[in-house]
Amino acid sequence: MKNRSTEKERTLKIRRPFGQTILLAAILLIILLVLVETAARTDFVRDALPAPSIASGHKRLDIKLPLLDDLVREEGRIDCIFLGGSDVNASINPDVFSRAYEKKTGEKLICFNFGLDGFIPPAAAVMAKILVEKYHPRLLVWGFSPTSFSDEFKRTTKEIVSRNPWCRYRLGDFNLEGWLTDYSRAYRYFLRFRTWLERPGYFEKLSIRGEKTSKYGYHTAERVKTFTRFKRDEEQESRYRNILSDFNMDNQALAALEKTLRLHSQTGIVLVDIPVHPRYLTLHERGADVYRKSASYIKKRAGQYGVLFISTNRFDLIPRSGFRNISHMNTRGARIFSRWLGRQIGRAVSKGFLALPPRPGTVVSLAGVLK
Amino acid sequence: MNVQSLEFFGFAAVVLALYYVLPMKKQNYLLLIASYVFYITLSYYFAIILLLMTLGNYLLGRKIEKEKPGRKWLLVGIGFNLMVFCFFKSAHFFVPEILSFISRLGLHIQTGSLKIILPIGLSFYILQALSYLIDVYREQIPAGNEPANFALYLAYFPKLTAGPIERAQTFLPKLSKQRVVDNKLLSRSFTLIIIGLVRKIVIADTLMQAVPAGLFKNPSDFSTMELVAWVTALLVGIYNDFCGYTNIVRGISGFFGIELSRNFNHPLFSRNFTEFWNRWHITLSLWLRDYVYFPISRALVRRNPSRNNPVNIALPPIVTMLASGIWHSFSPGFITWGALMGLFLVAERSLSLGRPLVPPGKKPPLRQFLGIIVTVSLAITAGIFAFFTIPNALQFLKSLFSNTAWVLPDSRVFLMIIPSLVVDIIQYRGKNELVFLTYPLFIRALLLTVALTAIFLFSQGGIPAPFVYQGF
Repeated sequence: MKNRSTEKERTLKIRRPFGQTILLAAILLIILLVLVETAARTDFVRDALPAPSIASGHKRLDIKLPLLDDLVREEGRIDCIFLGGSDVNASINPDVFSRAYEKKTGEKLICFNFGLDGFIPPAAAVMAKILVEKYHPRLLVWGFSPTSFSDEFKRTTKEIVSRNPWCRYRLGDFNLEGWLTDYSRAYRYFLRFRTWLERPGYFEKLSIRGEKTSKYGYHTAERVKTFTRFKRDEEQESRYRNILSDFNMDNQALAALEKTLRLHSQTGIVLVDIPVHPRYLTLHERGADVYRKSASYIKKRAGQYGVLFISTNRFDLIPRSGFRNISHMNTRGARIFSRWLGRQIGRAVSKGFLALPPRPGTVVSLAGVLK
Repeated sequence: MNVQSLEFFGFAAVVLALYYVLPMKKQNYLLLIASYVFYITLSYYFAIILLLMTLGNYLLGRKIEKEKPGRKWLLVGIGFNLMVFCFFKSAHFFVPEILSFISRLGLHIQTGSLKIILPIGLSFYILQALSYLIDVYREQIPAGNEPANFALYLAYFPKLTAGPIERAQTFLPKLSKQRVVDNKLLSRSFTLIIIGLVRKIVIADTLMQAVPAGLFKNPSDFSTMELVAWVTALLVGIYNDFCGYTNIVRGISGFFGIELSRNFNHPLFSRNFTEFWNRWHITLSLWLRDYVYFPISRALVRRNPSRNNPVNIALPPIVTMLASGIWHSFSPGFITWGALMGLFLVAERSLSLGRPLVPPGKKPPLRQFLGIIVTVSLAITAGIFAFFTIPNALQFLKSLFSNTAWVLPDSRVFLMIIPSLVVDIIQYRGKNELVFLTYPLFIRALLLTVALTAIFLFSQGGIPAPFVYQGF
């Protein structure tokens, strides 16, 4: 009997008071979180600390996203986003574009260059959706070289985007870290700190290369580098030669094109083929043919959605001194191209080939709608 | 299911809820079932091996007790356990050799069938099984009449994957007693878990991730200052990883009313090597002391009673530390590490011969401080052989003295080492690892808030790194 009663004794013996520390800690936690988040949103902290981060693992994305946030905060809106890979990053100066566009239409657009290294179509399409849904730009200009639709390109950038908690959250896959990144500036500062802890020199690498990014997302190098045949990058040329020799349009890249084109119901979309150095297409005998065929396919698909496709390579638009290598412009080339693109899009808008959605908050006159 | 993962805590919470409503005897069955379920989540193959080892050792224990003095059965038991241990530990050395031999004979077999993985926790529960057999032989404990209790002793899930290495004579009686979990034990256990999570997630994982991969491949690319900083970071990282693990499992076990042994007692403040081994992986050190060091010493003293006999001084520490190296891994690096540790102990004893024995704490503060510097530096030097391959370790040591260009180490190293030192200093000065519980309520709550925030922030993103000692 004695043994039985011992067996039946309770193991858990809690006496009051209990859990005071945890309760007080919970209250302190709430106070601490509110204080830290409030502080993180002040101008003082904003000026004192380096830009926050979404810890994407992609340097340029981590640099440009907070710049875009700052621009939206400063201007109250973003009208136009240029999206694409490193070719877009190097070739479009939003400031020059905006002035050229204003000359044509009389309207000033606030523009941002969101060109990111290695952002091949599948990655760019994912980012296009995120940018359109979060920032509601009136115009999305997607720049690419038709050869970026090659199945030779590795999809690492797409993985970066699809793995990042914030990107996943923005695409509808709820996760706590993504939610926190989206809503908490303090958390994004922490992510910046964590990136610094885990990856030394992550953010410093670009500044070591002498690159600076303007508030409109345009990256400039300190020195204007010009491509000459003496400065050829054999490795790069051999890679492009392989792409041209065995060119096939990648199904995932084409699906990405379709996805982006479908966004035309939410915003104005323009596809632009970014000029490359004439040498690019002569790297292989099939070069010009590949270029023409893929450009015409993209143009056809864009046409089916009523999306404007601006083809550039038929013009001798950019002088040879405007390139830093066979696929990227230098700042001189970018200035020429951005001015030209601003005029082209401005003309398309003023002639009614391209309709931009009204600015949020704009009162549309009934007469205008009826007309 | 990693010990620091939410799944593990969820699993422990479910087991705990059932545990509290069951009577004591059934609680042990519940823990046994839960332990096997936990092990099966890692691999059912691991669970089968554990079951077979439990059966084997239980029967051997009964035999030893029955056939007093049972020396023959003890030797069978030791041989059986060591054979299993050596088989799994060395499988990755001999399996490729066997495969190449078979292919030389012109035979082709599926290599998948010969892939032998070391079961997680095997090195830990084999030592516990050996201590059980030896203690039964020494008549320090009876061979258990309760097979379930013995099975639980080996399989108890909080300590299954990486210890602490409990002794049958202290652990088994805990299983036969009514457990009481009161306010004091709950707050102690909770605090241990929080300290453990901070050590593991905030300090260890961050430090280990920051160590550049190039350090292990090309140490010559780093300056002396960088090498010293990174290898210190590695040592502090491993310490916090293992200490963090032990704290977490001790905390979880505390919720079940079963207190597990402490494994670390601020080893980075050791003033000599004897002290170091009483502070680092304490349960392994004590096991090796009781079952390797003392028996060898006694046997040698019986042959030659002189305390100054060189063999009596040198052999026990060297054999013990070599055994420790082999227990960690059969790799030449770990064996070298063990040999070096043994030599340091021999040197320490030789230097103190003929001098009055002064406890380290009684020495002047400067000598204590120098003692810490020398001990930790030499421990790190030996550790280089454990962390690196032998050629890279030698390259590391060469670079340490040749790449003396003034390059400052990465500031991140200090940023993560400092919190570890702060926690250690507070615990050391308070002479209590749970000194935080003596603080006023507001300070306790504030510390808990900071700790929980840090754990949450650092646990976001990335896959949690497994505990280093789970690999042994």
